[in-house]
Amino acid sequence: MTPRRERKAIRGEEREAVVGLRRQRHEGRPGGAAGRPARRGAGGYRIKVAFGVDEEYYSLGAHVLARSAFLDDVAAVVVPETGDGPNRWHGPSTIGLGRMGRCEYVVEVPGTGGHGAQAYNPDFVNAAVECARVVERIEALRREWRDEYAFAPPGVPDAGPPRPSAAAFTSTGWRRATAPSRFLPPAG
Amino acid sequence: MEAGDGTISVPAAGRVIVSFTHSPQVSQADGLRMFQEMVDGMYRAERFGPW
Repeated sequence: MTPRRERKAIRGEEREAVVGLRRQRHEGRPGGAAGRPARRGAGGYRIKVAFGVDEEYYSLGAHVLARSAFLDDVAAVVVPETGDGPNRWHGPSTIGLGRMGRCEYVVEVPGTGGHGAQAYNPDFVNAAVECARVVERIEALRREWRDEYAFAPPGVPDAGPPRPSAAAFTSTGWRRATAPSRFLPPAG
Repeated sequence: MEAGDGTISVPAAGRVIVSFTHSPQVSQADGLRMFQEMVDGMYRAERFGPW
């Protein structure tokens, strides 16, 4: 699954393309090629950029990426995510450490079926109606649920310019590090 | 959520897909157990099917 160059017919025109792993969010972030030329960073590490697809569906891009050789020489992964900051300003500039991931549960809901002209028949069980009941119950659970875990510490004032920060929940509690002010954009 | 086949017939099957972000306090297994108990609790007293 390592990205490779191919010639593909795109909208009726044969073009060179990189095929393999990529990431594309429906919020409008640009998709692109995986394995861009890496840059040297502090400590001699290089940065590799991967773009995947299907984040909000089954995250198939992430599954393929995790199994690919692309990650063989990767020591750590940073996944950009706009949410889960300590307030609404800091979300895009916060790196939450220790993300556990996401899974999907499928609740199969059987019904009896039946002729539409007799939908009022009490012997019929309408699967759509039963699905709605399940959804309603799940929504109530979501409203009631109070998870002790948060991906960012609360208490950061919800005002002022955002600044890069990192937060990690460890066995001893929250550890935070805020980037020095030189990383902030110039005033004005 | 999806149910039915687009006809006016009474839908015979459907499914609800729940996206769940797990955390150090609530694992995937915990979430599965939670939803299973929730659904079981809803239908334990019902009259039809495997419930």
